[in-house]
Amino acid sequence: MLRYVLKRIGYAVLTLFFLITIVFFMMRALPGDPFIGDKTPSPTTMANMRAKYGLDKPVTVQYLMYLGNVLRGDLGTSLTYERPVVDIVKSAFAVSADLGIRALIFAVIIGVLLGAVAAIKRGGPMDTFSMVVAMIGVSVPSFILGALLQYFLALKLNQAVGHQVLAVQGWGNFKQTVLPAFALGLGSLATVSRLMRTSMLDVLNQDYIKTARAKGLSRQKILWRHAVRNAIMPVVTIMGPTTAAVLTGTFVIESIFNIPGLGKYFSMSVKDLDFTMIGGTTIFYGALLIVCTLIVDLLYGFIDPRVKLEG
Amino acid sequence: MSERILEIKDLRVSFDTYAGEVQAVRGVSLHVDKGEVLAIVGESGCGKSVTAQTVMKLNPMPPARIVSGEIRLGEHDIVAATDKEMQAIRGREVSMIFQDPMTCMNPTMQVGKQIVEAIKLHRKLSPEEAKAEAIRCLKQVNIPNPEERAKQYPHEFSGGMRQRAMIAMALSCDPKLLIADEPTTALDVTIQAQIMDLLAELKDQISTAIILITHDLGVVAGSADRVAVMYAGKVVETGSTQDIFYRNAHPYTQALLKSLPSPDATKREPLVSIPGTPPDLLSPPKGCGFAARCKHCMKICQEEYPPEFTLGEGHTASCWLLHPDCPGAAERGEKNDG
Ligand SMILES: Nc1ncnc2c1ncn2[C@@H]1O[C@H](COP(=O)(O)OP(=O)(O)OP(=O)(O)O)[C@@H](O)[C@H]1O
Ligand code: SF4
Ligand SMILES: [Mg+2]
Repeated sequence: MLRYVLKRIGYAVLTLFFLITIVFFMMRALPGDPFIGDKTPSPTTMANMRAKYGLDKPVTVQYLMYLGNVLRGDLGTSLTYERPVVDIVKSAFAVSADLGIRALIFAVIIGVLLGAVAAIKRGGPMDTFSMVVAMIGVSVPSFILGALLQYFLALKLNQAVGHQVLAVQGWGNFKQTVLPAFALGLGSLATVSRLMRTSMLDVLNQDYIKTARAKGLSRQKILWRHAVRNAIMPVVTIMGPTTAAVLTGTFVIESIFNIPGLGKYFSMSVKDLDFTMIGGTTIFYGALLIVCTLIVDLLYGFIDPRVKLEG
Repeated sequence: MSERILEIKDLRVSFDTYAGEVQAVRGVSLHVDKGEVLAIVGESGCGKSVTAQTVMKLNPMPPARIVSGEIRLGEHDIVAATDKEMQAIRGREVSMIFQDPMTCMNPTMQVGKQIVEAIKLHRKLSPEEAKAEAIRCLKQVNIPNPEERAKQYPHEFSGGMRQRAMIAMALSCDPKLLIADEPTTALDVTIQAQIMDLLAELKDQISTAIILITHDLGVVAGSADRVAVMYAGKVVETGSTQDIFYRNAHPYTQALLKSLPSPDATKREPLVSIPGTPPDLLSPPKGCGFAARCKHCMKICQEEYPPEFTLGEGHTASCWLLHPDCPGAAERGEKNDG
């Protein structure tokens, strides 16, 4: 058990190290120069940065310095905003996390329910409905979905009703969170509901469901106590990738809905060639995903007693 | 006459499939009395499980459908019983154990909890009492350290132990009838013997009647009071175990017994050595189902299903050879002795 946990953590640290290394060298390889353009930093900032990153020193020295800075929690200073990247990440991520968690909860709860009901009422209208939702969720990109939602459910609906039901853009109140969370979560909802449906159909055919019926349990109890509980296992396994999908989805959604989250800063920094920002946010996102996967791995071992937590 | 637990009369069960109506059970009559072990034997696909599961209405309906017939379990009319009534009957009046103990328990629920669940459903006990009962049930089926075992998950049990736990669960509410559908087929030979010994032991301790479904006539000889031989959805011969082994009259029963390995052979094989295959139940023959494989087959066998002939007290068989007009009918019964 302890060995399993330590091994997983070891892998996570190693992955993070590779990530930082790759980010460092990729940044070097990017075309373009951040100091050329309309956002040239002040000479003081330039001088400070030269000294700090040792831009005149050999690449290996620069690399080691960068690694040291990152480990100390210093992701550098944004070239565009002239503020420490860590500070920006902190405030912006709070917004992204809020949005992401809303989307994730929506995707998982509705996805699991939809998938379970589709399997139970196989071939029924709910099954067809879930199929349609899944098709839309998988095939319509979130930026198109987001734009359609803005147009129909915010703009047109508000005009029709005469007052604001859902907000078109911005961030702050509940009206503003509904549409972006929906647009962000729908893809994952589709994946979760499909997986849940397949898994549920499989579980419902298992002998232990027959045993449960032979005991005299009611249909409801069989479904919730025996079937859903077992069918949800594969959904737990994909929670890592699902979280990743939602997090990366925020890049697009935050831009469309004008939400001051990390995703928006990230896309802006790419446009502005703000190298320290790009590197900092990439490493932050990477670390976040690594931690998510780690948590899911460990969690799975606790939920499913059959998973032996050994090395 | 002792108390009648189960009475099935002319039961017909079909499955509605895309290919058509599969007539899995085609007029089965049988009964089980208190404290008795009835064995149902027959080749794969002859309708043993469908018959047994219909007693508990466990077959998903649809596709399954009770076409006609009667099932009386104690005072309950099973055919007419609603879903709710069936829930009260299942586990309480009749319970069932299945072939593969490895897949029959919920893998993510503690074994003890699974038994407690059954107990709480049918008996008015507090959670603590139910837990104590579950442990008592595990002890009753000779599971060592029942307190610790109750807290384990099914994957921590061996196959034989799981089947014991399944038996414990099935008997936890003291049902009148236990249906064991090939309870040892999936187990090792030595474990098989242990499980059969356990069932024999429990049968003496409690008054539960048992329907034992099996491929293995060797198991039948050691444990059943009476036997029903099924073929292609019908009971072709029924009688006491003695009748079936020594005074049998149906050619199918005789073929089954011939395929039984000699008693000194250690390995028991499934009954596969009768040449030919059973008829397709999508379009069952109008005559005797065994006709295509029967070496005594006559013209009438293919045209009309043989009536049931009584050969002795509780011993009947359906075969044209037993008809009084059939030449040599009397002697044939004798000849099969031994
Ligand atoms: N769900 C189903 N749909 C269609 N046909 C079915 C279904 N279940 C069973 N049958 C048919 O019913 C017949 C009897 O099956 P049953 O399971 O009772 O056989 P069995 O005697 O128990 O055999 P085995 O020894 O293999 O368990 C078989 O021919 C089978 O094809
Ligand atoms: S009725 Fe005819 S075919 Fe059927 S078992 Fe008897 S002799 Fe054979
Ligand atoms: Mg069977």
